[in-house]
Amino acid sequence: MFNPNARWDRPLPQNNQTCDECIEVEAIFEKGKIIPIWFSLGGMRHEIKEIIYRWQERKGQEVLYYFSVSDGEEVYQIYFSNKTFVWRIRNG
Amino acid sequence: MDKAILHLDMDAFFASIEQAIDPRLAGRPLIVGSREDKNRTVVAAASYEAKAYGIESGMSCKEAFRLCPDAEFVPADSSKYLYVSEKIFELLKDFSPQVERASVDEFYLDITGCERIFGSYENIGLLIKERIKREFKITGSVGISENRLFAKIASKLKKPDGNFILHKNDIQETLKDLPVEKIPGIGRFLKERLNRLGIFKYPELSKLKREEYYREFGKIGLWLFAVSRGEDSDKITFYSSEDSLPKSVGHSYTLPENIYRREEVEAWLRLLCEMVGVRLRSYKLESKTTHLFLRMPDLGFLSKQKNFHEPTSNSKELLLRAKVILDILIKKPTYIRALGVSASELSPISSSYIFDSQKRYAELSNFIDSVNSRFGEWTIFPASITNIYKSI
Repeated sequence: MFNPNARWDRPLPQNNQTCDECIEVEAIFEKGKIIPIWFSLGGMRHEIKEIIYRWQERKGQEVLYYFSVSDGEEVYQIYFSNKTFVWRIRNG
Repeated sequence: MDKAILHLDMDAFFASIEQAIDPRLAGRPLIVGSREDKNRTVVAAASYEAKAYGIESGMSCKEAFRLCPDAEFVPADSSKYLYVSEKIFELLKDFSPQVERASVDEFYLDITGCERIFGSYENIGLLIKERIKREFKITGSVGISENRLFAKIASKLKKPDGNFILHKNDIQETLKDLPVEKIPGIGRFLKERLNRLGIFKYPELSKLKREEYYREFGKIGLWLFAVSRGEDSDKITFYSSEDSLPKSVGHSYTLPENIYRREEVEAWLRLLCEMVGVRLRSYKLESKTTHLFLRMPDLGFLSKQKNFHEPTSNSKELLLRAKVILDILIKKPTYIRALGVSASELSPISSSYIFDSQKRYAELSNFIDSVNSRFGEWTIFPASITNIYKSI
């Protein structure tokens, strides 16, 4: 049965991933866990003071590891692809 | 309690996750929109701070911002919600071997006998809530009762962050002021029919006898009679493993704007049938019954299901069937706001085909599914839905 007040629809066929900027990140890969330490953005190095949240997204065989991180001033969302080994930062 | 069912309902799930991910949003009215463009989408979820302004799920964002112009907005990101939902599902298995995920933010557990391990049923609720708060920084409301229906009602009674046990003997007293439409399963039409019989509040459901219910409502009447006695006629089926098979597979969309042209309606139906087909094939199931649901700004909800002789998992065939139902439902072009397709009466896929073309199409579908499974959803998709991009 359908819920007439369905709160969210499935993602439409689109891919915003490529709009997100590649960034340099230093991270520790420890016992199956990824711990980002710092990232650089616009030539500035941001020390990660807190990993606020982490989640994953599977896209086919690719898994994106997302982190909501804080440098003590701002909150950023960065993610790592196990397929490309590239870190990106979410725009917007 | 002979049987103890726990219902966990996450509080403003999507909005709470967004607030946990970005603490700047915590404590603020937050709207999670179905799509990026906040002027052309509906409210997928609202934080409790936004709900205080009267903002509700399903409302247009325009209306929501009229109620609260300062509300924060984020587009829904299903990956986060699905991930957290999956993790909560895993966590719940530490409390009972019988766990069911009813939706992305609702879970049922059969906790009968588990009080011997955890001290009491109330304690199980508290421990679950505590772990979820610690691990995901969000809250959920727990309701415990002797069946699913009343466990679900109980979880709503003390929202947010509640933990409530509804004993069968206390049902009449606790629900004495509960309007009948607040009972899950009683929609607008059933409510109106009950109201016409002078039944407005839960206790008034006891006014009718079993035979009277059956005469008035048919099979649903028997369920209403059971509900009036604090029972739930539904059998409880818990799915303890990931590969348990569903009873139906469906998808629906609320559109960014009303659509009118037949080609557009068919393109959206194609998209939905493709999604349903992919899932049917992943379960290795096919379906005999197709159900089409439409929401129209002028006419409200329309829905119809139809049984077909041959079962199918073919997305194109599902589309043809949906179009047959569409022709029955709509005689002349009309504006459509939301639509959905679901497939039921499922059975395992048979590998015998009458026509060679059916076999070739099945092989092609399986090939496309395997490409999409490897490289990501929608790596290959039907050209007929390309125009949908333009409407976003």
